[in-house]
Amino acid sequence: MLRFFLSRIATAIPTLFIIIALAFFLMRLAPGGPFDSERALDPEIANNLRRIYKLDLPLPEQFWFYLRSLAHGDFGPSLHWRDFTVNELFAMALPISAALGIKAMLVGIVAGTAIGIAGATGTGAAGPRFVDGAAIFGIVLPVFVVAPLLQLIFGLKLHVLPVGGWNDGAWQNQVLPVIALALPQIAIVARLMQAALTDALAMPHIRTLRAFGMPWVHIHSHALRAAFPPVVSYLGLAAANVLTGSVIVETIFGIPGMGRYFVDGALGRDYTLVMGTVIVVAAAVLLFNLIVDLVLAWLDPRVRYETKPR
Amino acid sequence: MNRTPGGHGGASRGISRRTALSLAVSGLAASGARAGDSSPPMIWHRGELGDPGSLDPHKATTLIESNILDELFEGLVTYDARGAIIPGAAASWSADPAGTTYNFKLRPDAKWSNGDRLTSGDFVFAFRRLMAPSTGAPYANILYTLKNAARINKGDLPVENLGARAVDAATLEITLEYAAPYFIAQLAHMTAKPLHRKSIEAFGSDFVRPAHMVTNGAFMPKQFVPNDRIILTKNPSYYDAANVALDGEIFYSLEDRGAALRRFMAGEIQSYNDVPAEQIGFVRSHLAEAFKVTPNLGSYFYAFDTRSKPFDDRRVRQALSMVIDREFLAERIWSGTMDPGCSFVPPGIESYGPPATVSWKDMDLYEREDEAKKLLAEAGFGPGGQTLEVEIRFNISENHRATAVAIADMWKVLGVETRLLATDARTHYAFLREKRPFEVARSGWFADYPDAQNFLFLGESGNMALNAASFANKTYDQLMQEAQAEASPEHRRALLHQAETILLEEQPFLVLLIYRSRNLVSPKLKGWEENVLDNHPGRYVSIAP
Repeated sequence: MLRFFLSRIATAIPTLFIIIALAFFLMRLAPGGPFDSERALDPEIANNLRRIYKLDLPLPEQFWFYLRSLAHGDFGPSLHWRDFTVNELFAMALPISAALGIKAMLVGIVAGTAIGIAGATGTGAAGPRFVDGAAIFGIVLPVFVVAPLLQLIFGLKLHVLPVGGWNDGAWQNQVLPVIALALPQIAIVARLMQAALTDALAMPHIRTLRAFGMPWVHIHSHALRAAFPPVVSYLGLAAANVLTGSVIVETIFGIPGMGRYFVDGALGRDYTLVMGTVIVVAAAVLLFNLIVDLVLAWLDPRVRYETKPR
Repeated sequence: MNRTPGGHGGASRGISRRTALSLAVSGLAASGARAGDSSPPMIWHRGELGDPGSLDPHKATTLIESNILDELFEGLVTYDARGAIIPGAAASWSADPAGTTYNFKLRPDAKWSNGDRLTSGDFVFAFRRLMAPSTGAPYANILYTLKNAARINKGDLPVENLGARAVDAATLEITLEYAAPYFIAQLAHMTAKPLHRKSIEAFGSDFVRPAHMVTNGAFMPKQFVPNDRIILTKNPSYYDAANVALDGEIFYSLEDRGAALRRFMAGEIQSYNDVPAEQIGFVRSHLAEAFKVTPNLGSYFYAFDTRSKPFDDRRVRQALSMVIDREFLAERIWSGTMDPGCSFVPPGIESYGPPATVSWKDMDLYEREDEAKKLLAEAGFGPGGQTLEVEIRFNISENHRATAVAIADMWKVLGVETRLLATDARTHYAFLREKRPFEVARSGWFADYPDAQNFLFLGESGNMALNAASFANKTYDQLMQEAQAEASPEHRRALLHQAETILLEEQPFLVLLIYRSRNLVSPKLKGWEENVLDNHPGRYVSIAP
């Protein structure tokens, strides 16, 4: 297991480096810079600013400087939020996005699994069909429609929850964002679960258990173990995405999370901020893929054998 | 119904949370005049279009930053609720006859939020810091009116040579590079704020942290969470604190205009400075009392690339400008939140009076069309001549696109073939900055200070950074120079009017629209006045229960 773990880490580091290099140079290829706006700066002042932020150096040299500070865990100063470093911005934003993301994932997994199981084990064709229909609805309905609807219904019509704002994480302010984040996850998990469980229930070993007259609970616990791998594979990437913030949900609900920095950073040519977000997301994706592999190995022993040298 | 974000749940549960909210709210109450009173603190919840990039007045550039900095710092002069210049930290001032040396007497009761006395040395310190190249102040050039400022900012002279001197603790002498009648108005700009020397020397660039920041305005910062909110509390040391009704203000960064509208309707914010374009009709019918549309000192225009054919030809530019139905753009495309623009300087600048207007302003559209066809034919375009092809570049936005589409359609009567090219804002402005060749490009300008010069200088040939049209006209430059040196306000006004007339006849900038500010303002907000600067200091505001 340790060997498996180490080999994955060893491949993750060069992957991360390639991502960093690509992001760095691609970002600089985009026209315009952090100091361009409707009110153009005096050219000499702009040059002075570029010097202060070391943007006047040749690109490879800038890249080298960036890697060096990165090695010390320093993402550099933000070019837009000039009173903060990128580390400080992330220290405030990442816990917020992660807190919302974890709740949304939990809701997504529990509700999605439950609906999926109900759909797969329901009698006749009505169960699966209902799950399919509801799930497709949940998948195709975009968050930028769902989120304002939630605001209108619960905030403006019923007056039971605030329309927006973070309010230092008061639970009332978290309910609607978590729902908005969780809905698509519920839908996808439910569909995956239902399909996988339907297949699993038709497998020969389950049929054998049935033939032996095993109790219902026993049969299903075996079927579920076989049904989980596709759901787990999906959840890895989904968790990496949801935990690092959703720009749409955060913008609509006014939540100071990570998601908004992706778009703000890219549109504002806030180079250091963009690099920081790319690295955080890339690291999260690599980490969750690793976790998925470990969980899959635990669920299905065959996965373990495949990683051993032949 | 008025469920303000600080108002429900959070405060009572505050003890069990690790959050600062309950502390912030009780802090606001304690700082207010009604401490001990059971009435809740009076807080103005203000929605803004985004976050300030910095609370350092020398690093700030945007209107959002200016709005907050005006609450935190007070310059020698400041604005009243209607946007007129009034004495601020200075009680009075006098100028020598040449208009190049000013003497400011500071208020004896002007203090910093930590109780320190505000001295003329604080202004000298701030002006020197603004000009020091190591500060990297983006808008230092606004105060290049100060003697030697430009050379200091470019590193050619030490900061000690700056034309700002502390005669004594309460007297500040400012020497100018040249007489500038708009100098007093410039002093209300965010670059001209004083700074607390000791806290900057102690904390360096971290002096902007709410824990370290010392301010001299009506408010002081308490908390700044990027992309969320900035909490300001009343500054008890402010000389006019007795007349400041608010206990605090909270600025919310709300980029999503639709969500901001919903939060306004729910009473979570009491003001917001935009309305989603597609919901203006709804707002007009449902929130008429709260919707304030006010002329603004901002110009929306297209720049022609006057360096190359065919846009180096005045007739082509004028023809393209004449056929545009500005009323249609203002009313239909912008739903009445813009005014048709027949001048380059927006109306509403007191020292300038009504601006000059295009000569064909009173002709009807058909006459203008005929005239335009004639002009184009003279320039060799139209029937029997070449086909005029134009590319409009603009920064992406629904309304900019709709405006460009409408204009392309209006140009069809002249046989003009128009292409549209949209890019994101940074790309668009970088393209203009780099002086790359283009044909027609959208641009706009908002006043830094209320003076016609602050618009007309866009057409000076020496102003390459901002003169997007690369317009070069000797008479125009000369008029602008004469106006600069002119001491008599009437003569100066006449000279600037002449300059504007040239700009309109030459049309290097195709004047289109005059901005209007569109604010959502709760009827409970008292003392909030409409004004052309769209500036609303919290000092004058109170909230009805």
